[in-house]
Amino acid sequence: MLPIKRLLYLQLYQAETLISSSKKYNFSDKYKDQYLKTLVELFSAIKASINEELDDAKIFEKKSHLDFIFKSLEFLKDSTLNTIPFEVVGCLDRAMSDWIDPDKFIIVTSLQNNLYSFSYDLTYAKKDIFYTSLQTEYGISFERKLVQINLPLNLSKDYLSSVALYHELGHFVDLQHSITGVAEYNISSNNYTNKASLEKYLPLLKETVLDRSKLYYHLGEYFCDLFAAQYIGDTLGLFLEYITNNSATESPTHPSTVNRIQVITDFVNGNDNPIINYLQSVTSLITNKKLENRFDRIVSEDFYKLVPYDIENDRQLHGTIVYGWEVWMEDFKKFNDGMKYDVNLSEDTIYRVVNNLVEKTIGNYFTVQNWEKSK
Amino acid sequence: MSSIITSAAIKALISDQRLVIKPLLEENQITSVGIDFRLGGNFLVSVQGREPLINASLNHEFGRSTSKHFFQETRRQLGETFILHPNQTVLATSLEYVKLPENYLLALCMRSSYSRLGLTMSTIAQPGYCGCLSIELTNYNNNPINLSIGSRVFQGLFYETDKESRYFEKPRKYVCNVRPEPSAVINDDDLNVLSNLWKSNNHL
Repeated sequence: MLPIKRLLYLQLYQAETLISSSKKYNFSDKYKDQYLKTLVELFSAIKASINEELDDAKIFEKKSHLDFIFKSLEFLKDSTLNTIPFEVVGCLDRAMSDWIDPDKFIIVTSLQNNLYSFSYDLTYAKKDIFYTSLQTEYGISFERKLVQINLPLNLSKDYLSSVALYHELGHFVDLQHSITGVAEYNISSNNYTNKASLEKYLPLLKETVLDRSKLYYHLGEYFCDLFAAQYIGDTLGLFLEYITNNSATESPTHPSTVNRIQVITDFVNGNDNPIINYLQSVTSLITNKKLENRFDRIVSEDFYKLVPYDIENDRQLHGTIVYGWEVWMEDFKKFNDGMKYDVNLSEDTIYRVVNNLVEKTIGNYFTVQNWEKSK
Repeated sequence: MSSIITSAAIKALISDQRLVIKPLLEENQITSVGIDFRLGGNFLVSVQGREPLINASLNHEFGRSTSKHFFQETRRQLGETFILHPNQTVLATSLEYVKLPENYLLALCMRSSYSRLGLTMSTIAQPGYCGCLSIELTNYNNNPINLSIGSRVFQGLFYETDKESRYFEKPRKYVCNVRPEPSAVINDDDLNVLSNLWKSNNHL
């Protein structure tokens, strides 16, 4: 047996161990159950197809199929009802459905050990060819694909930090519609004639040789910031400013934080901004939708009175996270006003109180909707 | 003399926003003498820990383990079920988030239909309490019992106190909880005094 073939068998049995332990996953979600069932069928088909006759090309093809099993299980494992931040994912689901057919996708999360490790896993986001190859090779197709979002384990129930997840969802929406791809192409191919107007936010356009990959990444980040700002206003900017030390320096993958915050602020305040105008035009052209405010600001004393707020619609659902931020950024003495006497709450208690009230506010909204639907 | 209030008074307290219950899925949860509360979906299930015992004392001759090592978190959705095994204790919460008036104490007990299955609980919430109601459920039946999340398992009776008490005027161990919290008994100040006494008596 060739050494490479022995390694394929090693990966096969590693995957088999994971598949075996996946039987205890409890999702409380029929779509995830169905996805896992299909994944198990796929594994059996892959296993049955591995034999002594495989050449190197086939071995690496099988490896890519097993990699898919590993990656899917990584996200499913952290998406059981016990582990997934259920309320936050419910909010993201509603935001996603504004832009793409939610019946084709399932949002799943992978909990990371690094603090602030919010990211979107692109591995299988738009690999239609890959899914087609599974269908051709094994006759197995997935009704829904996974939207894979990484978030820090330690912040998985921190609703203030969840603003970063709206940005990550933006990457998925962007990829499905190829918004950044088109935006980058228009500039690179000189279809967009007003490039000079974008130089403040895309200084790389001044360079003699255009770095297309960097342009793509920077446009993507601006798009995702705008996508998130539709739902959570400028709260992402607050979080971003802190975790990046409000950096004025750009990186190969991200524009400077200073520029990003300016774009978010201009969007929220309705100020004219060339990068917003440009991305707005590309987004409208492709999706027939506008980047616009999609949340309602909650004006209420409820959190200061230590009670959840009664959400009336999806716009307020997203607005709840903004409300949580506003309470956190306000003078804590307002709790005394809300309770009509000096309340003895330490700052760490207020942190827990705000998170708990956001969780219960969102949870109650879904509870009442589900109850009414089933009556 | 304190007395139990009836449905009209309860409705008036809710209407005046002195009593908050969110969500109140059905108005008929307000009964003639109290409110039926629903089982929430978050649980802390008692499990065999690696430590020899739950130490509800600051005396450390048996180690320093707290109750949180003996409970494991699990979650269900509305309409799903939770199986409570014989002699098992779980910490649960009400589905409802409550804020009590500062002159009413809430006494919680099982609805009789569930008591007849062998389930027990007994707890109170002090005037001014805010949060989901924390409930310790034990199954004394010889058989496992399957409970629906969202079912009306508990009933609460409101007792009027002779004067108002301000819940948040002093530091509280349980504030605005929305999930079951393990016991914070080792934060009781008296335990420090008792442990110091034990150390002194034993020349430690």
